[in-house]
Amino acid sequence: MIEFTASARQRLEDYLGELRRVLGECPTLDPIEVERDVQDHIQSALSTTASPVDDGRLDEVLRSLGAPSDWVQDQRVPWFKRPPAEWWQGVRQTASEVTHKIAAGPESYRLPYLSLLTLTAGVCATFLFPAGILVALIALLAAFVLARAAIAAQGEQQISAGQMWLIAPALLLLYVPLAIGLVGWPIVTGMATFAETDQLRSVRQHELISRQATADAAILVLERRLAALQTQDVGQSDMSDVQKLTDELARIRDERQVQTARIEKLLEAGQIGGVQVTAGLIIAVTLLATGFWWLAVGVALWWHPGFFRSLFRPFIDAWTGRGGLILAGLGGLLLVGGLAVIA
Amino acid sequence: MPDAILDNWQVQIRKGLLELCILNALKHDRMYGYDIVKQLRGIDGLVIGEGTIYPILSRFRTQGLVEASVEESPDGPPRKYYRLTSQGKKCLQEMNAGWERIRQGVATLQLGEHA
Repeated sequence: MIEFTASARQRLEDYLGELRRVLGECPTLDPIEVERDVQDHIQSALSTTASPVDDGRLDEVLRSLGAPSDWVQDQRVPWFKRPPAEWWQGVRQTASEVTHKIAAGPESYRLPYLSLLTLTAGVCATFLFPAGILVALIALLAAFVLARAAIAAQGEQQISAGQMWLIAPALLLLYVPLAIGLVGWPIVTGMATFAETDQLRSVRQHELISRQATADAAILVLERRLAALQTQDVGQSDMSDVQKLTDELARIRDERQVQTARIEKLLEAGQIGGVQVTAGLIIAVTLLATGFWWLAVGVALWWHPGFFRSLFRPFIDAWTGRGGLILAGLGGLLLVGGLAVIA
Repeated sequence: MPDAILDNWQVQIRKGLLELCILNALKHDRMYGYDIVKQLRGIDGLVIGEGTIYPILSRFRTQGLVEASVEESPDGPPRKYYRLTSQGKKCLQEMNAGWERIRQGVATLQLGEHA
């Protein structure tokens, strides 16, 4: 293995980074393969050079290789950016290359293409079949497994931009809910409970009490009118008026009974073990639960970053676990905040 | 002749001929990438950036014209060798025939004779 000086190593990394960026824009090429070939070329060209290789010697080799952007000038424009007259040819060429890659490999692209195709088939099934949602879920799981298999097939090699575009949809559809659940479930639960707080319940109570008052006023008026009619000599038409008033009175009394029952039910629901559940209590419990959970997760993130890196590959491959300490710190603050609210 | 026009013409010429030359370099034996580069260096004006052959080799592999295999090397780490497939040999035959036709046609024009 050839050794480089520190600056030569950095120069080489910059060159390879530029190479990866350029190749990532070429859908017709296998960037991993080309990069490997270029690295082999550099190794062969420097095999007779005294170690460690310095900037000057490395630059000679890189100059003779040329700028990666010059190698693939006409291949970097995707077909949909070319003139319309070339679209159909571009589509056919792309479809032919995709089919060939799925049939013959390389594995570094076959699995990502299969992942995206499976996911797309699942999405289409949602609209085409009555049980499409179930098919879509199964397809999503299959696409996820294929995407993870593609990552595993890469080994220690970096995922290229082209591969990332193919596997990202299936991965993100599962990673995002997982990440939200991992960090945010206490908050989500607290928010859902907050919607049922005593404060909102009180607002509802006030609304029902207001209606009760309105009903009481209406009952009073109707009773007086009824009493007035009953003390007079009534004709046939007045009898029908009396009947209407009686019916209206009965209806309003029934409504009032229903509202009273609702108020009693609200008061019962607002208690747990005899303790009235208020908004403040819910906020405090949410803060405590979130704080405790973030403390635990933060410590786990810091202690075993490798586990989370492998869980969310390849998006947090550079994760060092330091962010776990920040999360744990925030959790501690929330714990303190929750205790303060309770106090 | 203005430089820009000449440069553009040379770029276009190289694009087509480089692929033909890479396939011809593999005609008789398997070779690894650096070997192919060393052979093509001998053709004046053909290769400006040596790295241009690697995307071409990758495309040839995808198209089924060449196949690659990693083999142990006595001189160092394992090397990736390229060889023509049967489809590649057939394609090369046709490309060489096409090139010969064009070459003869151009030579005729240069001599001022008409078909």
